[in-house]
Amino acid sequence: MRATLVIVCAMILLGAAQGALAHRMTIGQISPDFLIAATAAIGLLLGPTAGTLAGMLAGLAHGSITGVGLGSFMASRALVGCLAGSAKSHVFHDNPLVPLVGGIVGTLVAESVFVLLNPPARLGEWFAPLPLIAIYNGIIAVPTYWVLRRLLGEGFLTTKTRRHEGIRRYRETSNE
Amino acid sequence: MPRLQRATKNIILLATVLVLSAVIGASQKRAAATGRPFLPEQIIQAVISPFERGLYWICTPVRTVKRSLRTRRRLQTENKRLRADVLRLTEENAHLTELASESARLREAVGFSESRPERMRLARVIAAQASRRFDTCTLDLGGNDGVVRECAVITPRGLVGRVFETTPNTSQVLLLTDATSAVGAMLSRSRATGICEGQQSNTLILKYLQRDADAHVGDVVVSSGMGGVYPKGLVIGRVVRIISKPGDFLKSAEVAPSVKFDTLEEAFVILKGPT
Repeated sequence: MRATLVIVCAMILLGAAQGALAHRMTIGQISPDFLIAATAAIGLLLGPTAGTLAGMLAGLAHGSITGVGLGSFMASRALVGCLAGSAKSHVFHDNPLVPLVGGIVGTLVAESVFVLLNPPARLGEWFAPLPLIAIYNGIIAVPTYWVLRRLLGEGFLTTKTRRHEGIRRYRETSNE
Repeated sequence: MPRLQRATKNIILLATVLVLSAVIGASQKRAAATGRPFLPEQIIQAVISPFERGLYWICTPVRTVKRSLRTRRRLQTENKRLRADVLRLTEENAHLTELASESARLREAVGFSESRPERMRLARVIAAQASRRFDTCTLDLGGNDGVVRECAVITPRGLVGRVFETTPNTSQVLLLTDATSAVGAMLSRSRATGICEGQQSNTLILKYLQRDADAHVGDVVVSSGMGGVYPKGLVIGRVVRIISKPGDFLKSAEVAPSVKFDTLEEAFVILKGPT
């Protein structure tokens, strides 16, 4: 329940931020995509089911803001959420590189799928800034990941991570 | 087995979402083609737009501050550049004013030299009032230029003095205001003659005027040509005061020189010899 609430609120807020803030955070001609970053983060934190649904919501929000390509946005973002979720049990959640790589790969996948579904007139121009956009989104995914992690609590942690957390806490208390 | 079930569940979910995306995408396209509003899009926009407006409202002051900081930086740079420009233009203006003034002076000098019968050369004053005791100045013409002792020095405004010493390239001029300077002079209107002497001040004194000589304040004093140093008829100055003591046979007049010695920059040296 808590996770659903967090996902819905995050997607609404980040959808609003995408419309109101993204164009003001442009560096060069590169603007961030908060929704992809959040989808990747949710997928990594909560697994494929939540990732897919979060991606679908992200696509709906982004498509509604843009006004076109709603289906393409939904499909591409849902796929990113599902892929990120599949990686959940294989990553160490305390590593800050996890959301960074998640954001970068998520952006590359989402934009590639989007292009497949909505081929642009000039493919080269579409792909040229993609690496930089991916890096920007990867950087944004790091704080997004940590904020979402705080909001979700520790219920999402895998058994492996929980065991690791337990060992760390035991070491800390025994040192004291 | 549960992992497989979970994977299957996820694949089914993804497939459902993809199908849903396709359906929604197609519906949106159809709605766009028919010009009808697309309901899901409108609902989501209705949910998101208040937050968008809120974010915009929050960001506006931030943007204003950011913009004003940027404007301030730009203005500072511009101000710095403009100050440098003002400095440069002021210097340029001063230089041009100087050139214009020099040009006017030289034009006047050329006109003057053409109007005079004497052979003369224009010289620049390169040093002035080197000593408080003597009223002298140095010209950039000397013996090599034909300047010799006792050459008269004049300007279009009037008499300056005479050369009292020369070097190959410079010459020293004793100004009219020096206490040792004396010029044969007369009043231009009444032709009354006297001797005009310096008194180490801003004024000269015209001595030895006859007691009944016709002299008034404002009369122009010119050189009389007596003594052989100064040509006749060169303006010396104007009478500013008549000095007459009861019982004296002679009277004097205080004369304001027509040349401004403190701002003298160029002068003509009247060369001796055939014209």
